[in-house]
Order: sequence, then C-alpha cells, then structure tokens
Amino acid sequence: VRLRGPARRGALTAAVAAIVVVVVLVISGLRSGPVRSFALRVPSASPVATVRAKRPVCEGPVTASGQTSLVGVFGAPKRGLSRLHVTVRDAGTGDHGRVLATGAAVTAEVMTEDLVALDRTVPAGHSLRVCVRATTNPFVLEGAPASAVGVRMTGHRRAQFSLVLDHRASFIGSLSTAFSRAAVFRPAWVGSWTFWVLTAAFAATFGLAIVAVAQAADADEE
Amino acid sequence: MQDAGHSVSPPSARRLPRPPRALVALLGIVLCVGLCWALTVPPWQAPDEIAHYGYVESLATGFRLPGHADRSGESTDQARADLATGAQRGAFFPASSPPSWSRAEFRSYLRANTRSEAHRSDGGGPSTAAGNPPLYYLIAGAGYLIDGGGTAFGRLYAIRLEGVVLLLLTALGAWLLAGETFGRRRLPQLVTAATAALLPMSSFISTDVNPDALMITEWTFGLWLGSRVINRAARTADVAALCAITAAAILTKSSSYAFVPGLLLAVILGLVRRPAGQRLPRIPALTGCGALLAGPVIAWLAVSRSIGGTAISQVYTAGRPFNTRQFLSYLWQFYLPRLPFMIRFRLTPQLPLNQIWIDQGAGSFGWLDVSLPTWAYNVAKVALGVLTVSSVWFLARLRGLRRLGLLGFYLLSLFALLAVLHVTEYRQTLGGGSTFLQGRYLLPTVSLLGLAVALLVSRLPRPTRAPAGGLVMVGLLGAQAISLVAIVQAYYL
Repeated sequence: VRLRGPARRGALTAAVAAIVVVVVLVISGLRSGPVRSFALRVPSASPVATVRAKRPVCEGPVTASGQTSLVGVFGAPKRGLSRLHVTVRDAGTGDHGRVLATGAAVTAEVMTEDLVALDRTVPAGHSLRVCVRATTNPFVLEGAPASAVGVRMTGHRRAQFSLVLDHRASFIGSLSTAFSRAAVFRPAWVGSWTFWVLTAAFAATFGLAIVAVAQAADADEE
Repeated sequence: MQDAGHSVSPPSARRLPRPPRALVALLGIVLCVGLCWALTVPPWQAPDEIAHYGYVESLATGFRLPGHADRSGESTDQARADLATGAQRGAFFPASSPPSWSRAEFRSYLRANTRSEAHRSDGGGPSTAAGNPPLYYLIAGAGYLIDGGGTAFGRLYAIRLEGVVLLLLTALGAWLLAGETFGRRRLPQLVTAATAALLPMSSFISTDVNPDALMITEWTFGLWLGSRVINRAARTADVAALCAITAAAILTKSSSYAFVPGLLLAVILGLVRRPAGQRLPRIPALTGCGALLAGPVIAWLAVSRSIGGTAISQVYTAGRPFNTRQFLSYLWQFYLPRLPFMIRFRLTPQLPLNQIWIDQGAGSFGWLDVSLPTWAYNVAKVALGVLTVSSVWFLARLRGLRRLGLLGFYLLSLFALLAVLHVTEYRQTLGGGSTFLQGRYLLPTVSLLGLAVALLVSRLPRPTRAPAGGLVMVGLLGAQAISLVAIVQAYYL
C-alpha cells in the first residue's frame, strides 16, 4: 500500500514508539524479582501475633513446589523500625528440626509484605517450618483465623500468620509458570497455550496500531 | 442455471458499505486486548464480581431478583467454586492469599461438582448488587446459559467474554461519537475510540461481570445519539433512539438517571436548530419518543415496588438531613485542600480527586488491590494535566451554536454524573458509611476523555497530527501491557 506523507510519518512514529515500548518491556521483564513457590493463602487481614527477640513464632509444616530463597511475612513493627529474623527448619525432624536457612531484614512501620532474603536456597519439596522473631522493636504479624489444613502456628491454635515462600526469577522467565497457574480454575477449553496465543496476539496489536494510524491518516488526506 | 457472470442486480447496489480500515484494525486490537483481560483476571477478582455473578445466576436459573432475606447470597454451586479457588477469602489480599492455582484442588472441585440445577438456583439472597436494576444481568444471563451445564468457571468466563463484545461496541460508539463531533475525520475518530476502549480501566471493567460494563457502552452510544440529535436538528428517529438508550442505561444502573438532563438539553438544542416554524409541530412526535424512556423505567419501578424491591438504590443516612453547607464543604475538600475554617471531611488519606478519580481511574485492578508502579500514576497525572489545560484552551475558542451546543451537552452529562455520585457519597457518609466513590464510576464518560485527546491531536500542526496519533495508540498499548503485567504478577507469580 502506498501511503501519503502524513500517513507515512504517522506509521513511522508509531513503529519507532512501538519498538521502544517493546524493548523497554523486554528489558524490565528480564530483571529478576520475587516469584511465589508457595503461598499459605491466609489473608493478611488482622494482627494475630506479636513477635519479640525471645518470643519467636513458628508455623508449619509447609511444602514449597519450587525452591525458596525469600520468605514473605506480613505486618509492621509496633513502633519505629524492627529487625526481622527468619529461620527455615526441616519440619520432618520435629519442632527443633535442622536449620536449612536463615535471613534477616529491617522493616519499616508500614503494614506491608516484608521479604526476607535467606542465606541459602532451600530446594523444592522439603517439609518446612518457618520461625520469625524480631529485635529492636516488637513486630506484629498479620494473618487470619486458621484455614490452611494441617498447618499450625505456635502459641495460637485458631489463627495462622500469612506466609509466602519465594524465589528470584525474571518475569519473562516465569511466564510459563504464570500461564500454567492461570490455566487452573478456568473453562475446559482454556490451557497454558491460550495465554501464549494471547501474548502473541497482544504483541501483534502493536503492528495493528501502526496499520490503524497509517490508514486513518491516509483517509484524512483523501 | 444462471450464469455466474450475470447477476440479478449490479454488485454495487448489493454491496454493504465497507467499514473504514482504521476502524477494522482498531476493533482487532480491542478484541485481542479484551480477550486478554477477560481470561487473565482470576475468577471473581473484580469489584463485587461475586455479588454480580450471583445476581446473574439468580435470574438465569429462577428468573428471580436477588435480595430475599431467607436465601443465601451465593448459590451452593457458586459457594463451592468460590471456596475451591479462594476467591472471597483472598479478595483484597492477593499478595498473601492469591487465588488457588493448585491442579489437585481443581480436580477435586471437578469431582465434587454435581452439575445440579438445584445447587445453582438456591442463591438470590441479600447482596451488594441486589439494589441494581436488572438489564445488565438479563443480558449477562445469555452468557451464563451458554455454558449452563458446565462448571461455575465456564459460566463466569462466558459472561466475561460477552463483556468483550461490549468493549467492541464501546469502541464503535466512541468512533461514531467522534464522527459527529469532528466530522468524518478518521484520525480523531481513531484516537477517540482507542482511548475509550484501550484505557486499561475501561478494558478491565468492560470484561468483568459488572453492570458498569454495559453502562459504559450505553453512555458512549447515548453521547453519540445526543450529538446526532443536536447536529441533525432533533430528527424523530434520533430522539427515539436517544430515549431508548437512556432508558436502557437507567435499567442498567440507577446512576444513569444523570443522563436525563443531557438528553433534555440535546433535544432542546436540536429543536432550536430547526427553523422557527418547524419547532412546535415537532413537539408531539418528540413527546411520543419520551414514552420510550418513561415507559420501561416506570414499568421497572412498578414491578420492583410490587415485589418489595427498592428500584432506586437506597442510601442509608441514619436519619441525618442533607446539609447543603456541609455538602459544599465535602465537595471542596474532595477537589481542593481544606481551608482552615473548614471541618475535616476527608474520606481518603490523600486528596480524593487525586486518589479516587486520577489514581483509581488510571489503574486500580482486582478489588482495588492491584496497582501500577508509582511512576505510571505520575505519568498519568502529567498526561491528564496537559490534556486539561489544552482542552480548556481550545474549548474557550469554540464558536457557533452547534459546537457550543455539543460542548454544553457533553459537560452537562459529565457534571450531572459527578453530581449524582457526589450526592450519593455525601449521603452515605451521613449514615456513617465509608468511601463510596471509585475511579471506575466515571468510566461511562470515558469517550469524552477520548474526545479531549482527539481534540488535542486534531489541533496540532498538520504534519504532527499523524505522529501524535501514533504515539497515543502505542502509549495506550504500553499502558495495557503494564497493567496486564501487574495482574499476572499479583495473582500468578
């Protein structure tokens, strides 16, 4: 199709902008970020426990489907800053099981997810117990009435604290995981493939946008 | 046998007008984006989607309006599906309690799924959606019944796919609206339609189970028809269509009563544009058109009252009277910083204009719990600022009855909607309720935002218009990409 000057300019600008947007998206998609290997699925709805230096709270057993290098807990210090210490133990060896990894992080006085990086990566499939204690200031853990079957929080029979186990991976590298998760609880005809097709179709919309602008500008010149 | 080379009538006489290629390309984009939203958002992870689905199910299985005190809000079938995926439990908490992605749990749900009609028809109890009129839910029932014998998830996603059709119609309506406003200029039409349909919140809400999806489409077509009424001097067919679409909007959501003042203004302006001698004879025909508006609305009010419904959503005010001075103070503090002598009337930590209209309008997904990166909101604010200043600049220079009439109609429609929403929120706070307004409530007027973008593009120097249109299109797709990434990260990673 031969395009007139304005239409060509429009198409060219849209094409350059599309390339820039796609390149930026790909670069940011290659950056590493937390990906959940396990979520206890206890909403961080209300305070369930206060942890102190000598009063840790543990929860388990839980089993992550992927490796774990970060532990996510939800809550906030009672005041100021607080230093969270997380210990991941092998739950298969009793309450005081072998320590698999530890980590610590400083948290601010905002109710949010606090990710604590572990000193070692815990392989997938381990039965784990996660213990949290806080120094500097007490830390209020958020959670909800117990809903995860077979999981127990120490000191509280009827409540559980929200717990997430993560590993680091890039967004683009995790797409197959995301799509296989998104395909669950869907109509029978939806599978992981559906989301790959949609991703390809979405990428094609940038091409369609260039066509649309070129055609619109060309029609206006007639 | 007829020779293939000899047709009965000339081909040109039978050929339908070809749609503009730019529109076809845009609809292709909107279809793809709509499918992405409809299928990617997890089950019931949209505002009040649990209640809206329950309403659809109640109508589809027993032709019964919800709200019966002796029934459950969710049917047994929906409650099982909800429990299996953890939809209600995780609402507002996607970080700590994302919807289940366990295949074992899904298989367990499928084994237990009885496909029993009785388990689907035992809902219809009190819910947040019960006060809504039924039109959207009746239309959504078609999607529900497509997969009537399958799982709750099949039915939910069938309704969502119906929303993709609504999104396509919104794009078409906005295209037509821009055609009436700017004339048949394809670039402004493309920009208007793209903004209306590809703004991430518009795509998200249109493809969820939510009456707002239909309301956006109806208002877009209403604005187009109102423009036709003004431009074409109140032709009977246009006025009739405008009345019908307004009635449909009111039967979709009560806040659509706000469209009535705009309708009246459009008809008056249309009449004024006729020669003086033709005005009075037109009035009986136009009054007849009014029956298309009043008839369905009155019928609904009567039916609703006869079965004990409220017809118009009731707002609990705890018996406190409407205080005009307090309302004006509330309104001031919504849009502007509080003055020293004013009593604090703040419903959000930040300025509500910023937090509700701008941030939530730019992107607040799920149960308002999935946000965009902070920089994206800053970009949205800058873009909106540029758009507002340029629109005021260009609109202040508008001349001519037709153009000013169109502007008046658009502004009246927008401000009437704002007035209804603010009065509702103020009255709700009188009753001790929390924030009522959400950014999505302005989406029925999203095509006016599209017109503002198109106005800016069309007033640029001629050589830069097409490049500017290209930047708008790619910018919208970039916003879509960022929003869909936010959804995937929040729920699946």
